[in-house]
This record gives sequence, C-alpha cells and structure tokens, in this order.
Amino acid sequence: MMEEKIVKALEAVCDESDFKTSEDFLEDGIIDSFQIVELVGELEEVFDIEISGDDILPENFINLSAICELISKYTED
Amino acid sequence: MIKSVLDYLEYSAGLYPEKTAVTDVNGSFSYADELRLSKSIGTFLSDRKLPINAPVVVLMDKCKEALVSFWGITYAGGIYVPLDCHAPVARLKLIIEVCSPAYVITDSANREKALELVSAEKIFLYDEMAKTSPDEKVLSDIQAGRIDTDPLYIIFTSGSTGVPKGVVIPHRAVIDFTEEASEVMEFSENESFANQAPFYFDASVPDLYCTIRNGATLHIIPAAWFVFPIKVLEYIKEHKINAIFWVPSALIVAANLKAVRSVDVTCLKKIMFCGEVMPVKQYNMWKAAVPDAKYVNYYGPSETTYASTYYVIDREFSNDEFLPIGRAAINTGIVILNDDDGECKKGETGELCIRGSSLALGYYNNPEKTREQFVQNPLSPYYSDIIYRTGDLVKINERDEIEYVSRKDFQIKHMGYRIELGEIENAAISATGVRRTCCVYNDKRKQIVLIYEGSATEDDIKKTIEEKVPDYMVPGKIVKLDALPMNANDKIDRVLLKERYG
Repeated sequence: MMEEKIVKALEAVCDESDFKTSEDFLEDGIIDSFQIVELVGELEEVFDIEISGDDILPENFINLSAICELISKYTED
Repeated sequence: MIKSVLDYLEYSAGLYPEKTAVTDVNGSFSYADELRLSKSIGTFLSDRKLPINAPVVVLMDKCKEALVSFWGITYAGGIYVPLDCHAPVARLKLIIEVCSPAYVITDSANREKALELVSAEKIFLYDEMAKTSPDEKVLSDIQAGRIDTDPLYIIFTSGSTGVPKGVVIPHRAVIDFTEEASEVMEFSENESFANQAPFYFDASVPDLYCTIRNGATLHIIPAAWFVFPIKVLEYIKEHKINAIFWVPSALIVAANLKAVRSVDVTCLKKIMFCGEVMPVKQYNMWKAAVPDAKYVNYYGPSETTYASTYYVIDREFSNDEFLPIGRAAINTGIVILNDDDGECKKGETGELCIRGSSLALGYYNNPEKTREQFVQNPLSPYYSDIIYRTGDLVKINERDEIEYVSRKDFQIKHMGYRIELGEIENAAISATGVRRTCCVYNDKRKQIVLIYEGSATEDDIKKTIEEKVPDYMVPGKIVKLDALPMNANDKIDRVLLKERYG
C-alpha cells in the first residue's frame, strides 16, 4: 500500500517508470534536483508528514526501498 | 599595467606563495604550485609550436588541474576552450568543427572521448604535460607580445539553429569584470569561495578570477553534490566559506529542500547570484537562515562577461514581488532600445543593449551571427560604438532600477543554463518518424516540454535527443499529439501549446 503510494508520487514527478527495478535513481538519471524538491512536497502531502531537511540525503532517495524505509520512519511515529 | 589575467596569478603567487589557491576533492594547490604548473603546461605547449591565439580545448571534469590547464594555455599565447566532458559526442563534434582546436588537453578518464573528437597526436594528458620544467625565457617572450584585447577563452552556448555559438572573451573583459566586482564586493585575501558552476559555463568566471586577483581561496565542489545540497552546506560550514557566486537554481534547491534551515551556514557573508531569475520566495528563505549576508542579484549574458548590472538587495521584498537587476556595473554602459531603435523612456519596455570593455569579441568563426548581435549603437552614429543586443526586454522602474521583463525570442533559462528551444526542436526532428516538433518551457515545474507529431515513440525521440544535446537540455516531458495545432499563418501555434503545456 505504502509502496504503491510512493510509486504514484514518483510517477507524478518523473517521466520514467522503472522505479521498481532501478537500484540507483541518481545513477540511472531518473531524478534530478528539481524533481527531488517536487517529490518531497508530494510525499509530504500524500502521507501528511513533514520530512526534515536532515533526512534529504542521497541514501534516503536512492531507490524505492530507501524511500519506503524513510517514509515508514515518519508514519510509525 | 594589468594586461593579462596572468598578472593576477603572478601577483598573488608573489604575495602568498604558500597559501592554498584552489582545493578540490582530491587535494590542493598553493599559489606557488598553481603558478609553476601553469608555466609547465605553457612550456609544453610552446615546445609544440602552439600558434598564437589558437584555441586549445580542455576536456575534463571541473578540478584544480583544469584551472592550471587554462592558465598554461594562456602562458603559451593560446585561447582556452573548456568543454563539457559529459556532453554527447555529436554536440562536441559540432563545437570542434567551429573552433578547430590546435590541441586537446584531457585526463585518463576522458581520453577515449577526446579520441572521438580529434586525432591522437593532438591529444595530451595533463599528467604528462605537468612534468615539463618551465622555460621562463620562452614564456616571457610570448607574454611581451600579448595585449589585453587578445582572446582569453571561448565559451560555447546554445544556438537556435542547432550549432553552438562560441563567445570569444578577451583578457580586457575579464579584468574589467574582476576589478569592478572586487571593488563593489570588497573582496580580499580573506575570501573563501565555493564554486558551483561548471567551468564550461560563464557563471564560473568570477570564482576563478576574483580568487586569483585577491589572493583568495577557491573550493571546487563536485557537481553531483548539488542534487542533495545538504552536503554542500555542510562543506561550507566546515570550511568556513564566506562568499559564493551561484546560479539561482542551486540556491532554490537548497532552500526548497530545507537544507538551508538544517545547516548553519551563517559563515557566508557575500551571496551573489546570476544566470536566471532568482525568485523572491527562495531568496527570503535564504535571508531568514543567513540574515547578515550581503545579497547581490547580478545580471548579464556570457557575451558581456558574467554580469553587466547588479542590485545589492537593500530592502524587504514580499514573495509576489520581483528582484530588480539594478544598475549598470562600473565602466559598463546600457542602452534600452524600442522597436524603432530609439531610446526608451522611463517605464517603457525595450531591449537591453550593453556597451563597454566587458564585451566579447564576437562569436568564433561566425561573422554573420556576430554582425547580428554586436552592432553599432543607433544612438551614436558618428564613431565606432558597439553594443551587444541581449534579446532581454527590460524597463526602468520608479526607483531608477532596471527590471527584467521577458525574452524577445525562444531562449529560456533552465538550471541557470541558457538554452535555445530551437536547438532541442532540431535535435528531436532528426529522429525517424517525427514530422513536427515544438518545445515550450513550464516555468512552474521548471521543466522543458517537447510536443511532437509523428509515428516515433517517446522513447525513440528521447534517445535521439540524448545523443545530440547535453543532459540539461533533454526535455523532462515528451507529449505525442496526432497533429500539432497551427495558427492563422500556418505555423505551429506556440502560444496555444505554451498555454496548454507551459
């Protein structure tokens, strides 16, 4: 459920669609700095959370499972 | 008198030989190192009979060795041409055709790419060149014959027909900008600059020259760090960086990702930006986080060497206002012309034209384009008075500040880069199964949108475009239509497409 929502957020922001297979969004050129900005906004809205600036690091956005982990951290609290 | 940027380097190396001049992720050069290595590269090139004022390409990622290569080429009397080593080979080939470089300086990481551009005997590896022992006599003989209107570098920008244009900048223009900026911003040897812009982009010019002119230190930050700017800001904090010349895109991303709230970067005292419009919303986010810094909005095209006007922000702005671009820099003249080439009255919108020592010598090997953009000032017909027509529409506000209004043509600014939408359209139309194309810019999403008609798939077009233009010009969105809308003149209806997708 959460993963699907994240994929939806990614689709809203980026063009590519192989989010589930890519290991490294940055290396694969799926996401750039402006799209990160939009993605953060989208995720905050969808999950009704506020992502702290300290968490906006490459390792938290590198692939789908990293984003899932980051979001779980916020939704568990 | 100062007639070459090498005078800056020699002056600072004389005063601060042991001081760190430049540092990157792999290490540092002191001013003495920088001077010695530049002379080594210069001697190597003059041993190989580099003709005076011949272009020499530097093909490597931004690093301290690239700087030394630039000044080595300058010592040998050549013109340095920094190229984007990540750009597609097809585009680099177009540039090589325009400037026919005498040599290419590269490193082992980029040698393969260089071999696709020129023959092997024209390619030299930096590491080999740097071993040459400097020949002071030969270099000083070359320098004795140099004048300040000799070209220093050529920077290539997007051209609407698909062929990039090479802006030729002389020493005089860089000295003019550097002296002016150093005076206005009160730069000294205490400055530590953090470089953001790539060296093939004119926005890096102040980093290079304000550093060596003032005996300051330049920190080269890898481009990849700017995607997650928190790392950049941590670097700024750790190294007590106090001055930055960045494109607004980099500042915007840092603000939007809350990085500027997360890391204390109050060590920054001078924050300067140029290259595109800086939105007030993100400026205010920076101002809130770093309240005591001096903020300066610079404006200017590559053709007039980084910047021609500037505005030191001296009042509050609300998020729905725009930052003015201020007034003409010292020793820069501006003229605002209406459609009839007459002078605009205060408040009237017209094309900004620039006069002065900061002007480029034109476009390399392109006299037609040069004649179109660098023209006689229509307001002073009696002697040679050349103006550069920027294509930017501006007006003077009630405070006597210049305000940017819009472009006259189809040029856009994306991530600080200047892009002709026509160049992307030309790249797309070369894909098989594409009949018509139109590119628009979505200002809100900061996205280039390509709309086309034809049998090709979106993926095919994207692949073709990626082979022809650099990453920052590849559309973020591609839309296929059965037929592009046409206007009454039987031309693609750009206005409608811009409304729908822009």
